[in-house]
Amino acid sequence: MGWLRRVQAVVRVRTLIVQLLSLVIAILLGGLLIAKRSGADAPPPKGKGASAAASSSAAAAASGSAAASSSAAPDNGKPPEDQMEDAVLVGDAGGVPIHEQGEFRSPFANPKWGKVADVRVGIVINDITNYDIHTGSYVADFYLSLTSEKDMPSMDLMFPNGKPDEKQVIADKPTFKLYRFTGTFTTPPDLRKYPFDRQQLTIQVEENTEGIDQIRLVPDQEHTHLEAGFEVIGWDVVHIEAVSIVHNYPDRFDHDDLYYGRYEFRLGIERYGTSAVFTVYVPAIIIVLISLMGMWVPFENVDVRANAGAPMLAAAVLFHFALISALPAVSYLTRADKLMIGVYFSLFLNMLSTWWFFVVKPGSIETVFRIARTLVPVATVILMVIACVV
Amino acid sequence: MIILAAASALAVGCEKKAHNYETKVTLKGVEVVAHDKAGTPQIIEVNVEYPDCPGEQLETLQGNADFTKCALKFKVGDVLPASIEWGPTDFGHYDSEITRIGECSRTRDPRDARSYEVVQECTDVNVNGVKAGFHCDRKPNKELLDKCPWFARQ
Repeated sequence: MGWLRRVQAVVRVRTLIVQLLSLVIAILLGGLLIAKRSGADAPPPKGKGASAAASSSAAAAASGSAAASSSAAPDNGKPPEDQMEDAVLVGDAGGVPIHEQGEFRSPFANPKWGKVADVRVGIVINDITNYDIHTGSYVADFYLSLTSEKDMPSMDLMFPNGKPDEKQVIADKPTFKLYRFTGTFTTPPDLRKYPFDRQQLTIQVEENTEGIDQIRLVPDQEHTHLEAGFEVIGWDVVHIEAVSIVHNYPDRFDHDDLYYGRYEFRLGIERYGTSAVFTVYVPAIIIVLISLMGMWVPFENVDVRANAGAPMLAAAVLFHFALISALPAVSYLTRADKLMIGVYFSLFLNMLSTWWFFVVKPGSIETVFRIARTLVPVATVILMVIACVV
Repeated sequence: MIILAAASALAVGCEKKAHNYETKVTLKGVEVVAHDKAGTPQIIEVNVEYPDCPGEQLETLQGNADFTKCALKFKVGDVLPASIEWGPTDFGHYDSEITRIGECSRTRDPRDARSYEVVQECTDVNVNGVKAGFHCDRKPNKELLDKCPWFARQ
């Protein structure tokens, strides 16, 4: 049995070197992963409007403006558009001109406007390009139509979650306006289900100064479309949605009590399933399968057995690092992360079964080999199933 | 590797075969969009809906001069039998084409970018119990695919 002990000692040293090297690489790459993850912050704000969302109250547009429509002024003739005209300075207003009549004190309220104009908002998306999952930004090219039975005030549209690079006014009549915009917009990505994630690309539209006492934005279903042949490269369109909400900003000045209507168009997209499986799941499963092959290598070739498992740990960490590099820093685990945790545990089990040889008596090596060959694959399958479905 | 090879072979082998379907369409719009120099209609655009399919499916299609000549007799509101060819595309998904409406056969020009369809099912979006907008699912659901399988795209 002396020769066996000498062989054991030699292969133990060689195996330890290989495994230590793999562990060092894995730890270094793991450190990089953790460093990348530790930079994760809360999702970025959605722009001016969303930064105020903490204190904003969202409600259905219809409910918000019902009261506003009770303004006293008659609807005949052209109502005054300059809200500041009738605002007055009073003692306790802190220097801000306010309206003493009507529901809102804000200088941007217009108590003489009369009946609220129901503005139907239609949108046709021509194109969405350059979607960057890192920043959640994309370039959108779209037509926006505003239609109202009653004359609209002069509209000054702004986009709380983006910035138009180009604005083309195609029609500008009191009851009908048509624009074409091209601009860059941002929506924080939700990567919890990555690589089977579904994103919602939003275009928010808000009137800059006219509040819900003058206009009410109403999504126009009949005139909300995607242009023929529309597609977002690499993604499948799953839904479109348009809603109108009312909200107010945290007080920007004294008596900033006017609510504003906001229209939101949302495009739901999801990653192609086949692409997700082949870019994430197949490589991870191959890493595990290759490492499992070592289970059938007996102790006499224990260095071969160790090499089937330990280097796979470095490969797994490298693969995980590549996956994470394609995503922004997030403060939660994606499905891909959970899959990789399953891979790490599987590889750990694999390495554990090899180390087991060195802590048992020579007579028990064959028993350890048989037990590991049965237990490790079964435990790996269970682990990977859990990692895939959790 | 063997498992992977088997899975890949299975995935390739599982591609569904092309299929022809018969259904009915309701004409929602008929418009001649191009004439020749003599004023003869060359291209007609037809909008159709599928009365037997749940949800909202609007298909816009154009045809060549032969189809145009035949389709000139169509009137908005007509409900006509239609043949549909469904099958895999070169891009790895599936698509369908109307190949006949009534007695008019149609062959789509592969460069025809105008013909398209909108398949969606819309519901109201309520916020605090008040309607705030609408939501339209663009992925065909099971009910639609059971009744009208040519809308399958994957």
